[in-house]
Amino acid sequence: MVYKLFILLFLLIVSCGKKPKLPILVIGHGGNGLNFPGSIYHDNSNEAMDLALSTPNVDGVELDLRMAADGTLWLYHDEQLGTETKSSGCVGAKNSNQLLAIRYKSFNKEKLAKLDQIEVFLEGEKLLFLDIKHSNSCQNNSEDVNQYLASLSDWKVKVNNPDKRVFVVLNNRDWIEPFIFSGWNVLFSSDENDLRDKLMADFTEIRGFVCKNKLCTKKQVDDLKNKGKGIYLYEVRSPKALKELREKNPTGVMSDDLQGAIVEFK
Amino acid sequence: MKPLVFLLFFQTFNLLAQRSNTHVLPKKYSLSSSLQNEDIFISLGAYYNLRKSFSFELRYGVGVRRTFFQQTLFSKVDAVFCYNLFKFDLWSFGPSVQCSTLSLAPKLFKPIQRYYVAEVGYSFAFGKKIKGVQSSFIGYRTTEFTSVKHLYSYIGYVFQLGLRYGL
Repeated sequence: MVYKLFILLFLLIVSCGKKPKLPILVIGHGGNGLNFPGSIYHDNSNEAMDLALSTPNVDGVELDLRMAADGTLWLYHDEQLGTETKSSGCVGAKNSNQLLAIRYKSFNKEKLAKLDQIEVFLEGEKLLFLDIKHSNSCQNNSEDVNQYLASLSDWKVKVNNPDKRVFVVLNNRDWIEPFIFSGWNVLFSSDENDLRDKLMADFTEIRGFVCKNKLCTKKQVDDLKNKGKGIYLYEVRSPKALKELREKNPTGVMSDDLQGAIVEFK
Repeated sequence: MKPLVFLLFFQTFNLLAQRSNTHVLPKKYSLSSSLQNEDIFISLGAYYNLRKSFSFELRYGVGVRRTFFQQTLFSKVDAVFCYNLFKFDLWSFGPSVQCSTLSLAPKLFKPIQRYYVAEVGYSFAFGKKIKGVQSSFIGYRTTEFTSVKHLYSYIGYVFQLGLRYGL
């Protein structure tokens, strides 16, 4: 009986149809996925980036950047270090030596990653989306945009083909102009359609937008693509959300379930 | 050719089970669900009582998310050894070792990603003819992509609930 069940299950699985491929870019959110139980490594760690960029059919990774007190750039998502590590305070209030010693509270205890130490970013052709975190809540202010740009420029010169591969994701309107002026490919993170329209009018060089999957409709996606702008959707974890994306057909998906997105679209 | 080998494997296993009523025939079959890093798996298995307090279980399972919601076969085979440290009529408890291999294959027999697992944990069984089983494991895992010859290692977990039916 059990063997018949095995064979029945086997036949059921092999009879499933193959879905057509879609031209949606698959981007690893935070590397190998953010706040997703199936992620092997902690988001924004060196290990997560290495695994994501080695995964066949992945087009790139999104990473969260914060600037330390000494101007170095680190990959870290949250405002406070205490949420994901045993340390406390903000990245912006620490220097490199202090940050080097910090590890995540995850199973694998990954170290905090420094941008210029991630070698896998420098070579290859896969896309890099740098989510620029500008706020420093420990000092109740925003980081200095010129210092940020100087640190990023030092890193950019080491990267292979940065003009085609590297995009910055901003969420501070005041930072758009200096980044565009410095020659960066700028995307803006916004869930508001009116704001996106206004930004497109004010900054024609803006390359596209990043939006939460739930808050961006198919019509909005189509409108942006018709205007020649890229649209990347994030907060995509469940198989249901991945199937919805087939209908929306955005430029790219910043997926937390990276393996699921590859299976769905590639 | 490969499908033929697969079917022969089942046939051989089946014949072995029928021939050896006295000592190889599994005393129990199991149905279990496990939550682990990679997916939620549903598994069918055969449970053997070995010498003294040792037992062995062989399971085959499929990942629910990938296989049923995304129509991509994600299968695993588990081999579990348990030493029933406490063994009574109604319940048993003991340390366990589990070795598994997982395979994600969008095209049949062409896996794109494999996992190899070695873990330690415990198994707790409660009941008479039908036993409820709970086991948990933590251990070392590696994964590799078929097209990229590099192993990625990490620590993983399994939380499992199941039923074991004795014939």
